[in-house]
Amino acid sequence: MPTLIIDNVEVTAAEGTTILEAATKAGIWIPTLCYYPKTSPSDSCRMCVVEIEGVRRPMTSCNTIIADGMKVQTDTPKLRSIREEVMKLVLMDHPLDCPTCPAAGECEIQNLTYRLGIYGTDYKMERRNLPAVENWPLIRYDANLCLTCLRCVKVCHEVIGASALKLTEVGYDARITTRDGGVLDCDFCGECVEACPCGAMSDKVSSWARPWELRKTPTVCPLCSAGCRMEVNVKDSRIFRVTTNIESHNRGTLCVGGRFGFDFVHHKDRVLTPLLRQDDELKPSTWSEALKFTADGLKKIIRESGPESVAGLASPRLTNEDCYAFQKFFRTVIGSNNIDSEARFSFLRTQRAFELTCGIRGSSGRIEDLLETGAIFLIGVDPLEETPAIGWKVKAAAGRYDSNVIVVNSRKTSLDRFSRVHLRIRPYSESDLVLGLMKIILDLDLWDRKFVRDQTANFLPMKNLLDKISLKGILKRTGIAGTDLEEAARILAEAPKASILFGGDVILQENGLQCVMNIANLALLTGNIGKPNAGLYPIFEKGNMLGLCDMGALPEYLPGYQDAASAREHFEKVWKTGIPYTKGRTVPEIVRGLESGDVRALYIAGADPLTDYPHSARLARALKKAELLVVQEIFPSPTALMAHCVFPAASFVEKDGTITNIEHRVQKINQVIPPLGQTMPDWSIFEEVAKAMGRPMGFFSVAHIFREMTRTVPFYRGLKLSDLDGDGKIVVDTHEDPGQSRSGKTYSFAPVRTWEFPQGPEAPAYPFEMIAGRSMFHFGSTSTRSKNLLTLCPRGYVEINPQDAVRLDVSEDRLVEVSSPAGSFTAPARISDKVSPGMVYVPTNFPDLGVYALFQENTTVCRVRLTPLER
Amino acid sequence: MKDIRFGRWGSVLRDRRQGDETNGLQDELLPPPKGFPANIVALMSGKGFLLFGDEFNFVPMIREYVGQIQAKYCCGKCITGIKGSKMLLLTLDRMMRGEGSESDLDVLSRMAEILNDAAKCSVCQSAGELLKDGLAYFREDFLNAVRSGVPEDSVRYLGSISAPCMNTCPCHINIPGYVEMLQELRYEESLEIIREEMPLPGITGRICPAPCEKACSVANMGDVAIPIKTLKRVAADYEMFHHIEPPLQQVELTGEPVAVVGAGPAGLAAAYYLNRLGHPVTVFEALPISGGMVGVGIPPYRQPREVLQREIAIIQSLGVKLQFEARLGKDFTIQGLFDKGFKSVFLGIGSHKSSAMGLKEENQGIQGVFSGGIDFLRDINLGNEVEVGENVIIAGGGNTAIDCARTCLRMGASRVTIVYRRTDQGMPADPEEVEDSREEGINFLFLTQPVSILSEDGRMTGLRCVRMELGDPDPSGRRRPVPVEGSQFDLAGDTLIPAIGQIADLDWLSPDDRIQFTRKGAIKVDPASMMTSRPGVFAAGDAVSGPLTVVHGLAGGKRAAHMIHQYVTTGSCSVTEQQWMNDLIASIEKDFGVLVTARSPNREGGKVVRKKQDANERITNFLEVDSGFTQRGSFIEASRCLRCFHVILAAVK
Repeated sequence: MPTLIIDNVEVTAAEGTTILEAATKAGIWIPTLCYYPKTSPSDSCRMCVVEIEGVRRPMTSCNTIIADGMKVQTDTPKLRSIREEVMKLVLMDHPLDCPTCPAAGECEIQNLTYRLGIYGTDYKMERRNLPAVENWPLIRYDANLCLTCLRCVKVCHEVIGASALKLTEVGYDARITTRDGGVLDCDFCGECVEACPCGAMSDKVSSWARPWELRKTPTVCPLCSAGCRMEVNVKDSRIFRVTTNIESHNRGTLCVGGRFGFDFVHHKDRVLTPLLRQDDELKPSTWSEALKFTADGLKKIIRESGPESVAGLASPRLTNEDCYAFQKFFRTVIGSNNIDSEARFSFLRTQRAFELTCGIRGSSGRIEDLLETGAIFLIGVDPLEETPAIGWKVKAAAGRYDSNVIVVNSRKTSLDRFSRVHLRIRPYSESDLVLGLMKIILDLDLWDRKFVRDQTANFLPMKNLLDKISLKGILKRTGIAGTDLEEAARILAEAPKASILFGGDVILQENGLQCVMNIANLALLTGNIGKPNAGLYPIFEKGNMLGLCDMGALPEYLPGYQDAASAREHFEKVWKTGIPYTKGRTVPEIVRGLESGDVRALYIAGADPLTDYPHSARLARALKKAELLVVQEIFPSPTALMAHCVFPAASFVEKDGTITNIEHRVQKINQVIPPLGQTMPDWSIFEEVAKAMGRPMGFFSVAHIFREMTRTVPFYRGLKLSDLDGDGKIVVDTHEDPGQSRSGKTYSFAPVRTWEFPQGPEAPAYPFEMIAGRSMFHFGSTSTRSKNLLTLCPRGYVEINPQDAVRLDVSEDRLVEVSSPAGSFTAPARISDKVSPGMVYVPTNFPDLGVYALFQENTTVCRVRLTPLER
Repeated sequence: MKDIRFGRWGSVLRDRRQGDETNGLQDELLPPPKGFPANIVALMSGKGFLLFGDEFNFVPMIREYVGQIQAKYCCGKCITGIKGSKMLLLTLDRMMRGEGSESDLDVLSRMAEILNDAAKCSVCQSAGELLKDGLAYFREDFLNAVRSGVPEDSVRYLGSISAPCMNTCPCHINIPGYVEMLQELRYEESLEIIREEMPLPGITGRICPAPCEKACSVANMGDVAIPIKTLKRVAADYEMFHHIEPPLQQVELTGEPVAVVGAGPAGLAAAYYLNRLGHPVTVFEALPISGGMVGVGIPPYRQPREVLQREIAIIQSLGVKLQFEARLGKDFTIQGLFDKGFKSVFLGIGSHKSSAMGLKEENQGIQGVFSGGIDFLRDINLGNEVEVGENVIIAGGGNTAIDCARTCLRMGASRVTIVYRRTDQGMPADPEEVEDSREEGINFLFLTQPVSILSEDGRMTGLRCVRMELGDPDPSGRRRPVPVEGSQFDLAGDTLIPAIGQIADLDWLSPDDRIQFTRKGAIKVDPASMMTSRPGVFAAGDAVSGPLTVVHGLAGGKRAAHMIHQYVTTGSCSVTEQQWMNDLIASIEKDFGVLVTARSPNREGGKVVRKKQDANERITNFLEVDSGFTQRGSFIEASRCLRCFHVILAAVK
């Protein structure tokens, strides 16, 4: 490591460190204006100049790499004079409108002028008076304030990969515009605003609160499973904006949801008091009435039909403590294992497939490990839509880190441009495509023989099954050319380390279990399990999906995926009560139970099955039959509107707790504002209901629940809440977490089989294949109550290929009725080549569409017909 | 001849305005005035300032210099540059209007200081330096301006921007520009900059001899040159590997039809630029494939075919028509092309004929003796059946000799020997190619000259050679090899490929075509307009210059395209002011001020090591040997570029 002398202080730093970084490390301050640690230096402000012995001109320290024996001076009369002159040039036309500038109080020009002791400038020129750019959504740009330091341009290109901004014109006319000069049309992550040293880039949503009036509370964004850290800025119990700290695992970077989606919290629709159904109408009530109603109802049904006639649905929107309290409530207060959630259709399939193959839970590595992986294989996922933080890593990996990206998707994705191969497959042929890759990898002898021999079992049985499947059939079903598939196979198999990402399109499909098993087989065949910077990344859109399952809000597992058979004694000791012996009901079994009358009461916390679960039409009918429907919610969701009792829940900013992200990182969310109205945290509502039923669980705080959780969940053992400040803790050493197959080998291949999306007899009448996913700008249905996000995507839509649009005579925004044999909805058309001809795409985020009503059970694809409505 | 009245070039100063020589420095330290046209008054550049006439005012010229920086050359990426030069411009404008005050001189001097100390690159730094010259030696001009402004005069200014690399590149690609884009991880934008001046980035990114690298300032300051060539390849490969559609737009072809003969680098460049200028172009190619010498002369392990095919497909997609197996003189004539309605003809027919060794056995049809290296490579690249023996001898020391040797090895020869009459120092082949071929096990016999071919029953058995030694220097400066008496020896071998040179095959042209040739057997053209002796017929590339490089061919084709454009739209053609400026810059820099002696970075040379296929592995196939830089590597290498742009402004009357 080179050692150099900075201002007579000896400093040793790693090879490749810049002088600025070395000085900062040694506690020596060098003024900067354009320097931004998230990006490569733009060395445009010239503030950080230093003198190096033996070098004629002053050098910028932000981009000069240290060398052994270098002698650096950071504060000489010459340097002071340069800085003063440059600052005076900055101030010569910079509007000193500080009192009305959005950046006042956190403006780096202001701070540096002050710190350098500059009292004005003798260079005088007229102000620029260019009109500020006001027609971009959410973001405003004022060229008069701009230094063209390029932080925004660089962060947009290098960190986000959206490359939406650029420097236009030269000389004094240089300013920032969008790439094509038009209205900003980007991911709206707001990183440009965060990066701007002054008020040139500002957001339009945080006025009017001054930085010094805002109290910043660190917490974690719960909107997707990446779990980015952020700081919520509050004044008078109202959230004004969200900022970040660069010292965080997400490097202070947020997507549109984290940055702008916060305002759903204050939406006027929030349920702020308990509601009870009277005369077939939900009416405000009091906590005591609502608790008594629910407790009495539950007790009556249990008394009459036993605890098995009560069921519960949890949600990945809840914290770990909420989930833990909910399952304990069911197991100890109700006395039933009938608790399930939407994990049934996603995480549990993955979990099952992983148990049979590689034994990992969640992702096998950290999100940032993706940067140093050799190849990234994305199948059935657009991480920029599902978990943007992961999408950016893929883009960065494809850029400066030389990863070869392969995209397999039935839609065009935003990562296609960064990929070496992109295969646009027929909907729901992902499973077969993976089999095709495996066949080619075996044929070309590109598989990892040593890994397969030493560490895996059941290779031959799997291969025998695979040999019976013809590649020709696979090519036909997937619609992919053999040469393209071979190129993908080569890139994947020849990479020394590869990571495989898969998401909703794979997991949620009817064949999801098999498809994930095939994907795990592929990872084993290429030897990409059990080593760093390689592995599997299941992408779950919903925030606390992993925590929900870790906490045992599942019928088949106690917390920590433990079987009642082996762990009963331990739990009974900790819980000081017996736990049920029955096999709990899964979601489909709960639905059937409701239909048959075996399930009489349903308790739903944080979930909106009518919007989020497949085949919601059947579910709606079943819910009608429930004698007691209790819903804990923050909004009057379609499900809540059917309830007999609605408990007003606190949103994530109104409570404490922990959540677990895709990397198994357990992080703390902190209460930012007091609960609005009469809302309460979910865990405490469960406790209140338990008390009202006469069987209190005794939980009195989040810390209390957390402590118990660390005693019962093996891989959370030893965690302390106080350890979770900052980046939290990754509780499972992911890439070193081998499974154990029965043969004693660490991993096992799963059997393979081919699968084709069944056409069904209705095919001719329903010529389109409909895929349901999410909108780029929304997260679940919660964010559809964020006004900020609604400015970007105001309503649901149906995406139609331009060819089909011409054929059906549908123009942009024309209303179209979309119907399947199970139901129909109406939405405006969005014409886009993201979908292939014969395919339509709809976001599921908008409750008013009720997209899932069109689906059969267990799947997110169905056949539909489109009928344009009269204009 | 012009006389330099005042000159500051680098740190050399010479002031002869008062008549007598007061400074003892030699005139040679300034650029020779003979390179400048008669109407030049003064020249300002990043290197310095030259004054030729007596009637001169510094103020309007520096105002113009700063004005051009503000309007065209200041990148907008440095606060000092943007605002300092703006302040300078405002102040100078005020002074020129006669509204200045003496305190403005103080502002100018402070601006000069800050620009020189703290501007990001030499563009704005140079304004500071020139202003310092002005304030020191032409102070009266400034004081006069303060007193009474500056009157209008008849001086015109021609400005341009260059950099040592950019200027040494025959195509004048904006090299610092595209290198900067790579440093910013903007591969597509980088490629866009390259394509402005040159349509075959993937090819030149691999096989250009990169004269630019020899002029690189980083190298001339003692470090290793920026690997400009390989960086270009990174940009081109990024687009290719990611299947990105090139952003080139079709233009409406409403101009005059032009025929291009030859689909080599010169022809393709001519066709591409004529297409960009809106002319419908048809390219006539004698061979069944395009690319000229790149297509048939360079083996695929150096120049993968798919790269060439893709780049030509891009040119075709813009509307350039290609006709194959159409040979001038056999299938059509120049007159025929004019008769068909083509308004101009471009000849880019290359140098496809092997030079003979001059041995008497050469043409006796001995089995195993090939007619020449170029013919050998062409046959292989066209897919014709070619067989080589076990023990191959190649005669020659250029890239063709190396290409033949490495190709033979890949075709299964067990021993390949290159005989060359000079030492390895005198070899014209790319040193890295030589290194690679040594790695592959090619033998070299230096200071060896073939004398006769040995044969038995019509089959070659060996080569009789004579040892050489180096005598006195020849006109090229290399010492002339002379035979050592009595040193003859026989070298066993069953195959001989002479690869000692190539010339243009002009036999296809007849006197009816009215094209004159030079004594050296090339097409004669006017060097400024590229027009041949026949009006409307232009030529460039190897057929004009003798065998040179791809980038020279491309540059010639590009220049010819602009000339043809002028010719078909106005009926005549002359050098434009921009070309005049480029030529001026090229001549000043070539003659003076820029070292062109740096060595191109070889594989280990730079900060980043390029990956190559293992030598034992690669001789079994024709796959590309060199895999270039990774993107991370290109970032590191590109970050070393100093952006040593300089603005050049000529005042002319």
